[in-house]
Amino acid sequence: MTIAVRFSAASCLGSAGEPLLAPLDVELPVGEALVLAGGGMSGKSAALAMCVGGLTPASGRVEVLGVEPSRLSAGPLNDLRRRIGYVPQRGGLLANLDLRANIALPLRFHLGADARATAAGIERVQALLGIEPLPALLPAEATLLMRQVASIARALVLGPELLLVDEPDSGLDGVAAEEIWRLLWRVQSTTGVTILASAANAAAASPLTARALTLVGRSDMAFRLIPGLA
Amino acid sequence: MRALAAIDLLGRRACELGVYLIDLAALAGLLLARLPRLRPVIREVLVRQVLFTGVQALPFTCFLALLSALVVVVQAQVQVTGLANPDLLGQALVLILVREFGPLIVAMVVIARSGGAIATELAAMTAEREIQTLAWSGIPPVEYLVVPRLAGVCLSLIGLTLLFVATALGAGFVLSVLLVPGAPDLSRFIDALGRNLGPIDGAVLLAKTLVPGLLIAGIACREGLGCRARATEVPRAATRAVVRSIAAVFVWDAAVTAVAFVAA
Repeated sequence: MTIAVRFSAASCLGSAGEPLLAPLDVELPVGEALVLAGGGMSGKSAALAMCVGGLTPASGRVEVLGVEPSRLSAGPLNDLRRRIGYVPQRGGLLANLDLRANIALPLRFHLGADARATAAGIERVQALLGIEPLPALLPAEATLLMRQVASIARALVLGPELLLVDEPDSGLDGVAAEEIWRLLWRVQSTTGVTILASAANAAAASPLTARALTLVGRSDMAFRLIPGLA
Repeated sequence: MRALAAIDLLGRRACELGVYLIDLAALAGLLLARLPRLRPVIREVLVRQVLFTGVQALPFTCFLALLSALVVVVQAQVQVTGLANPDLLGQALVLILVREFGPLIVAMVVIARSGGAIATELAAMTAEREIQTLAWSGIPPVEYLVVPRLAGVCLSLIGLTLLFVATALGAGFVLSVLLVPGAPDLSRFIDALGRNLGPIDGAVLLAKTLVPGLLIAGIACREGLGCRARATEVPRAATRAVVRSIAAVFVWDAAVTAVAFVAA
């Protein structure tokens, strides 16, 4: 069994030295899906950030696709990132490009795809997701669901080996949130791509996978409801 | 203790300035390294930048050139009462507009229109975590966003300055014919320009456009990308970019003038 992602007692600190993620031990085999669940400040996003070398483990190790991102220099780290599709919370799309241009950007940047190859790539990923062609809207003109779908499409357009998805249902209502998780399940079952996702609620992510790991962090310390108002 | 604190502060500021200058030099080096083999998608960003910074600024630059020429001609008329020496106008236009204020005025236009805009755009992208997403998707933000902006602003500044100079000289001649009794005819005007313009003016003009272009775009990009990921940082980044660009361009302009003309 090949392991796509391995956290070995990996913990992470913030820029001010505050703990972002308590030591985490988990393995994600190739072709499977795993959801890291937990409230705010539990370290879900930090765990995903360590997988793309955005954060360095304070202790322990993180291995992704056979390498440790934190030990890579800029060139090899970019090569690794090309093999990973990353979907941030609420899209992270470029505001000055329309949805289709956002999806096309990795194709055009990494492969130098021309107009025809770009259109074919967008069509392929839309078919994979089972969605209608996305309209030529700027992200600010699109709904949050459209933005999230476009962001997932952008992450998939190069055919990644690993998909990292950070709370894809953040800000969506119940129906739209379920749609997003079903969409990810469809991608995973069709392509066999390994998916590491995060969610506030493991049950919400059940359409993707039943395999979830709940992280316990500082969410209970973040604030306390005033007794009587709760 | 106060003296030590002052020295400490001075030293810290000097170190910060040194790091800032190294960053700008690194950006210029990156531009030189990447320019010969730009990816098509980056060339598109470069074209958009030239369109915004250069092409869209053409009418305003011509307007300012016209007004500047008018000021020089009127002052020459008033101060020298009818241009006793007809060659003086050509000399005044070269000295005031070609060597000194032309590049400076165009640099101010580019700072106002593009320096602030670039810093605002990049700071907003930083605040919205678009930059982080680009980087984590394997698209280096410096290559995709900074390189075309540096090249675009430099090219635009050079082009706009040449246009400014040409417009100011042309307008200077036309206005002198219209407003100044005893103004030189065209051949004499061109002759006067030729005598006052030398090879050093070409080098100075290049130095006063190429480097300020790098400074304006480099400072705007550094401020935009270097700010914290907060919406409140966006206007601060834009303000810092504009103020620091103005200071840097004036310092560079004065240094070039001192080296090229005073030392010579």
